[in-house]
Amino acid sequence: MLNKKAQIGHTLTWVLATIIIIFVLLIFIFASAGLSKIKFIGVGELKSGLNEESSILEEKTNIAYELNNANKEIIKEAIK
Amino acid sequence: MLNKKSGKLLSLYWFAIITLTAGGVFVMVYLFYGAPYDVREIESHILMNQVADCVSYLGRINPDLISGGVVSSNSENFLESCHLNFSSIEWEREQFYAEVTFYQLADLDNSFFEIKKGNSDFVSECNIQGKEKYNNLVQCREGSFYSVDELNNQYIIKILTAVRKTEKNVK
Repeated sequence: MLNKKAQIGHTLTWVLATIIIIFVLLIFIFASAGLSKIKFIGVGELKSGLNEESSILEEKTNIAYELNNANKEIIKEAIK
Repeated sequence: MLNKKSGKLLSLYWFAIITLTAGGVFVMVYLFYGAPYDVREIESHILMNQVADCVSYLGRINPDLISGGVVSSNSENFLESCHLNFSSIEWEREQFYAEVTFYQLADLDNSFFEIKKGNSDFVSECNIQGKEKYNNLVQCREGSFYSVDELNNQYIIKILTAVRKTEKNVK
């Protein structure tokens, strides 16, 4: 009788362990599925010269000012 | 005898658990590394820079587009002259769009000259994208800058670029 009880306790431990293992696995699977949906590389993440927002366009504007800088305020307003 | 049987059963159990864990790890790796990286924002940014470089260099507008205050006839071959190719054998429909609008400083309400190349269906999607970001729609980028022509006439140039390629960037 005592042996049977011990056997039941032992089995229950393993059943519980299996449930926990499956549960942890499922959590990781759902987490990796969620992370896979946000695999995005934006301009901000780059370490190259691209990371500065529209810096090339600003540079172009500044070079053009060297050639003709009349109406600077209107231009600034227009390209804002 | 009973002990031998239970030992066998336990080995089987461990085998099942290890298989289950290995399967779980496989599914995790497949899910994460099977999904593509979305790089369309960078692509649209690069496209805009490429177009801007072609339209204006060292502060002057490309004479193939506007020369002496007049629209040049060479502007029709905009993509070829900018070394851009929007058509690809990979895609049935064009996956890129570029729009360049020139405004004279004297009349900023009406465009002086426009270049539209690529799939123009993307413009409406760009308008939606502005309010909220939807991954399944095209990724757009808008920018404007100032440049002058050979006669120092002043222009505001607005560029809109869009990249679709949703199937290759979003799962």
